[in-house]
Amino acid sequence: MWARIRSYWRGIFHRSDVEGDLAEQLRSHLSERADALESAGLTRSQAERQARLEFGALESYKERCREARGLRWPDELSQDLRYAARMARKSPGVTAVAILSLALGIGANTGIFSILNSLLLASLPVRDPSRLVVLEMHRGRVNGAMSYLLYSRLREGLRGQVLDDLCATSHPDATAVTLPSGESVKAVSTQVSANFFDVFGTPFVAGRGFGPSGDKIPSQLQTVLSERFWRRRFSADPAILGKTVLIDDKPATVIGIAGGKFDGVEVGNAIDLWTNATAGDLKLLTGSGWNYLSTLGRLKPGATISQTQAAVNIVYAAFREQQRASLPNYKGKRQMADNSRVIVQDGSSGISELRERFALPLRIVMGVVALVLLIACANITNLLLARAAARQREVATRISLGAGAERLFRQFLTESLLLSICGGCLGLLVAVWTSRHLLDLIPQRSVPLVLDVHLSLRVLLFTSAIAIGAGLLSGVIPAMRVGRTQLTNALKFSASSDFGGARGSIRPGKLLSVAQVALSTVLVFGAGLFVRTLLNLKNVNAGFQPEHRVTFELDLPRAYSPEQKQDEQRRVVERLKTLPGVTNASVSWPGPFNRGRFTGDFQIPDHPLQEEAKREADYILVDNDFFSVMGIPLLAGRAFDVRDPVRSGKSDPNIVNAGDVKVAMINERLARMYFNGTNPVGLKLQPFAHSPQKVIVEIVGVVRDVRHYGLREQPAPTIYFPITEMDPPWAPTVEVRYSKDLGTASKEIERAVAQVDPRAKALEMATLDEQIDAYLDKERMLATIAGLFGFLALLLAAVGLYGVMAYAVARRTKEIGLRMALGARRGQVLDMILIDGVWVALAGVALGVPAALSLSRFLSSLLFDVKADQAGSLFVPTAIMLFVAALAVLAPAWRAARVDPMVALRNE
Amino acid sequence: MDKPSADLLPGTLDLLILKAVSLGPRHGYGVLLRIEQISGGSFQIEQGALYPALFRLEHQGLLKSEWGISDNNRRAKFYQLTAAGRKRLRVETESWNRLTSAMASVLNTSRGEV
Repeated sequence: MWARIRSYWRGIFHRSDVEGDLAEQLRSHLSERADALESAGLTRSQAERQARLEFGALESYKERCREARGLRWPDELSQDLRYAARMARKSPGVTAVAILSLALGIGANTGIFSILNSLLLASLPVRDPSRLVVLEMHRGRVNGAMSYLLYSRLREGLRGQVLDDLCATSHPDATAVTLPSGESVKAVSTQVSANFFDVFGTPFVAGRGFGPSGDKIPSQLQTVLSERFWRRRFSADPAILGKTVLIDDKPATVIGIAGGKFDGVEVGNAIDLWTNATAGDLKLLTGSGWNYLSTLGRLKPGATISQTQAAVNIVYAAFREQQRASLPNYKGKRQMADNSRVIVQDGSSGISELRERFALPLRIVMGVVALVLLIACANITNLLLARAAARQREVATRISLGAGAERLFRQFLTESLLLSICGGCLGLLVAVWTSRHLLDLIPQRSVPLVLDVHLSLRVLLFTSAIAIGAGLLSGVIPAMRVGRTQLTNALKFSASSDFGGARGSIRPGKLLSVAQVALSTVLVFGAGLFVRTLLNLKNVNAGFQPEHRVTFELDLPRAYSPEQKQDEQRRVVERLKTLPGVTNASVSWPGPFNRGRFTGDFQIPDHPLQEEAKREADYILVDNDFFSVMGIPLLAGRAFDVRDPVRSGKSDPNIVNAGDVKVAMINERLARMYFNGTNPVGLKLQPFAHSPQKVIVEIVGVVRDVRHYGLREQPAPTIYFPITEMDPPWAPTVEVRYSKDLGTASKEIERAVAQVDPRAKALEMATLDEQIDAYLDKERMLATIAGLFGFLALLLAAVGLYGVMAYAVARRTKEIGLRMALGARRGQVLDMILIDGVWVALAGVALGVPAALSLSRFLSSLLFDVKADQAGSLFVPTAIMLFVAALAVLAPAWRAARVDPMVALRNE
Repeated sequence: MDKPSADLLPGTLDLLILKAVSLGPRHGYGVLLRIEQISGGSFQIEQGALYPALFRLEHQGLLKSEWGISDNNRRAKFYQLTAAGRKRLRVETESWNRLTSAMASVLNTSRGEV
């Protein structure tokens, strides 16, 4: 084995040594033999001649020696490569276009694959990631996080059974960290369970993780830094261990620095510091309603996901039963609890909110660029076919000189592979550009998106695979046709003089063109759907006026009592109203486009409801000015105002102190669904239907429906409560309507907030327009990319069609000349070629439309208010396609009509 | 070498070369002479055909070679067996012997023995 490799090595890289060696050995042999013959009595010259005769065919044996060393294959390869390079140089323009279109195709594929890879496929940099599982709470539409209570119950039930251990982490949060030096920096942090780092086997650069003290609740907040954060902010100073930093003003002791490139389990977010969840809010730890944890476990060796699922089901059923028993009796309870499940999934690549949002769009984009590459390949095939036809005589000559079909096949394949490999190399540049700009299409949130899209080994393998695949795909048909060349025919007809052969050899080109048109039709059709989805969503009436409104989250120290918080938020809003350039301000919770959602059930006293399951409503807390600031019209009654009773009793630490609520407002939808056209103003409503206290409120007003949580969703029945009578459990949102330039307004707003309370912060400040833009990120990405590549596909197909028709006209010049000599008019010739080309386009469209329709089924979840089978969806892409095809055919047809019969017939 | 002689069975040239070289390092022409000598001139090998075989055996790692000086004071390449070559020679010799004895017993069978 080694001997062979050494021998190949010498043969390929020390070729001249090997050749010299061979020649000298044979020379030496001949001299020895001549010596022997000379001593037998011949003269020296006779002896030498005799020796050569006895030896046999010297050159042929030399060749066989080379072959014996396995050198024939590399020899032929280098021959083929030289030949292919010469062919490519002969028509540099065509070669450049071919390589460029392949580079675009391969580059786009690589770029998108690298994102797909890091988002969906890449394993976490942890010990044995294949044994990780994710436990996700699924309850109807809202999926993902679970409460600390449920997490602890699951951990108790599963640890040592099917799992080695189970750990939990909250969502990444943008926080302000005050370093020991007093400097304040922005950082991303999460709260994790104590065993977090043990589950992942994270190596520590210094210090330790939170374990193994168990999940006993320590009174002190501790933090582990990521190595990257430590290097950037602390210049890799190990003395930071044991020191205290302030995380959002809460002191935390640094106990470790996590190494091994570990920056959390959420793909797309790089964590700077982890804190121990158990030192957080007691409310968060004990309440069953606080779903904020993602849980990951490590399977015991040999345990499977389905075993774990079975064990989880048992634990969860018991947990749910217990929860239900603790609730007071009411009828809707059963349905409420029953549609929730905890689902176990593979966790080797971590968790990601991004993945959920972008997995399908990215797969679709991947499909789009794959189709574009196919179209580009078809162009290369057409090019090679034309070249092969032009070289028929050369091929025939080579066959008659003894070249085998297999040898010619290989040679032609080498040509297409050379093109595709050049395209692949250039494509890597395109890939880097593509992936970077694709990520730019995803708007940055307060927790920055960090996605590793460097060209990893897997990505490079992918690139080589598709480059070689593209080369084989585009080269195989021309190569096969060359292999089948009929010697007699090829030598008999010269390339320019044949009539019969011309039409035959143009057929595969036309078929390819049909395929190209079909694929581009699919892409143009898809692009149309996505663009219209984006436009439709942009035109959706959100129910509020987004212009000149900016919102921010008012972050108050957690140490404040609810009364203090209420007081602060009121003072902030009052202060903002006095700013010049600010028209009005209000506060609400959860604010518009908030990612957290607050829902509850309700009853209408003395009005039995037919369907219990539908008595759910969104609860939103607002102040008196919310509707006027947001521009939401009041349909009946009044908004909250000073007449409403102010809370009397002092609040307790529960999230919702419902007992004090006296009034509420509802939206149009709830009014229509449950009050059947009667004016609900003045009627009673019982929200918090499952609460032990009976809360009865009076409906004081009805407002127009609002798409509060996003443009896609139909407005849900909504109940608004006065924010002064309930305490938002996390930062409320302040809405400001401003009349001048946003830049100065936002500065003034921040300053005003700091003036009211230096410890309060205005976080995530963004205009409503910006938030709508951010909400449409997925749609914009799809529309942009599908549009861009749809256009590229159209262009490539047009080039392909143009090439085929131009080639056909060139081959038929003589025939056209003859037709004209026999009396055909120019218009007839023009029509003939045009019709020829348009048939190709029509056939392509006829194939493409049904394909597009059947593929569009997979897109329905991404579309908005667009039906794939609407007439418009089909007509526009078809029209565009045919129009472009007609343009592409026009030039060759025009040229055909200008043929001078005299010249054409003389030209031999 | 122009004596009437037996045609080589396919594959036997490699075995002959291995055997010849096993008796001591030889250069190409020397291998030819040695085969002629030990076979008593009963095999005819076309001189040129020797070299592809030598190259093939070296490529397979059964032979190794180095430059030296021949008896006639000429620079020549000397071949000798590698460990793998010795092993191959042993295996091939055994199977050759098995084959020939089996063939011999078949061909020598008389009517009475059936």
